[in-house]
Amino acid sequence: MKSKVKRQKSKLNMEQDNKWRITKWLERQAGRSLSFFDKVLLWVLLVILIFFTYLSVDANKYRALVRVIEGDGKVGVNPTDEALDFGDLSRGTAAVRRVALENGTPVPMRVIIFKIGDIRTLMKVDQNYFRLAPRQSIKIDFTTYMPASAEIDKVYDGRVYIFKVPFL
Amino acid sequence: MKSKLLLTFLGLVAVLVGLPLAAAFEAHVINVTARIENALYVHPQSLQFGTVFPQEHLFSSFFIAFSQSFSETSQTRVGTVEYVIKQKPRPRENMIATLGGPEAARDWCHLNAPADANNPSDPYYTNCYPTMCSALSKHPDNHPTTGPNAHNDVGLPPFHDPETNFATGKIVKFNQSGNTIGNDVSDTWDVDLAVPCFRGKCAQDWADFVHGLNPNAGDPMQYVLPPNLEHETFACDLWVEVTGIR
Repeated sequence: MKSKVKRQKSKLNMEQDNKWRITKWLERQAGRSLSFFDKVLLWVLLVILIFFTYLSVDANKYRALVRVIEGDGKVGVNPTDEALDFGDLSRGTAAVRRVALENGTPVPMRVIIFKIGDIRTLMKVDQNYFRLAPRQSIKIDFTTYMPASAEIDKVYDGRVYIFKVPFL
Repeated sequence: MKSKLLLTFLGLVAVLVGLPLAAAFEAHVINVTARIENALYVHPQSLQFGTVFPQEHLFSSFFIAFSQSFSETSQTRVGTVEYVIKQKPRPRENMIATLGGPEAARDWCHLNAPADANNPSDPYYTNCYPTMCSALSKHPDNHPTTGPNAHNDVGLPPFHDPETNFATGKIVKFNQSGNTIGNDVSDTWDVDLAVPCFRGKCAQDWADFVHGLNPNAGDPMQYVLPPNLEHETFACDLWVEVTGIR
């Protein structure tokens, strides 16, 4: 009976140890026990982490692509809405895709657009880092111009992220 | 012990407040939406006509088709793309940044047409090229000649109102029944420039020149250019705008 109680106690201690393993690790790193302020700071950091995780999950993510074709004044179109597909463009031509953004909330949003990949240098956004008022709708133009230096048959690929930060 | 309880309480409050908010966002009770529109605007390469003379008739062309990504066999959602070819005044390259970027500059030129075309000090001429949009015609390739998609493009002769008159076209990957018989996967457009004359320097057959190219042009004198624009560079931006997909 005694040994059973002992085992249960040690199990509880282990759980307690696991539960506060992060704080213990932090205490070991700091070389002192965590103060009340430290713990509040930890919670604040956790909330910020959750907030940014939410923003990144909520962000609109689109594939963006354009293909370079040979010739003069030739364009191939793909107007479907699965991606920011600028189609096939010969050198010197340009294409514009439009994204409609609607704020259905009662709070303002700060819209931040990031572009990554090969296409980012060819693609221009007509507005960025702007404030979207409550219930406001707006259209953002993405323009891709095919320069004379573009490599024939190359597909310039990338991704576009549209972040919406509330209350900013 | 007290502080631990307080911290736990604060954490629980944060979670309890945060969860419904996040759920509300995701349930679109409060929502922010972003979607790509089907519309696509394409600006064909510059068609350079160089130095021209009044009543000359010059020819150029551009080609429009489906892109490689659209042509893939797996793309079966959309079979037909309808488009219009629009003409827009062209901003001067050195003024684009001042006017707030390419789109803003184009809008400025569109909204600030000179009240008096004869006034060379109108700010329009500082920011934008004198327009030659009304003198540009667009002729379709008339292909295919038979089948369900025969002659599905409508051209536009020169000497028209560029604000309201547009050429329209259609390219078809597959028909409504799903087959590709008689489809129309590309269009070649001939773009001609019928060079207008300057006031006081028009040939006697100016009216015949205008009505020969466009019998519905109306008064030929409305297309005569102000003499102070002689030796200027004229320009016009052509845009292919997708208006519908099926």
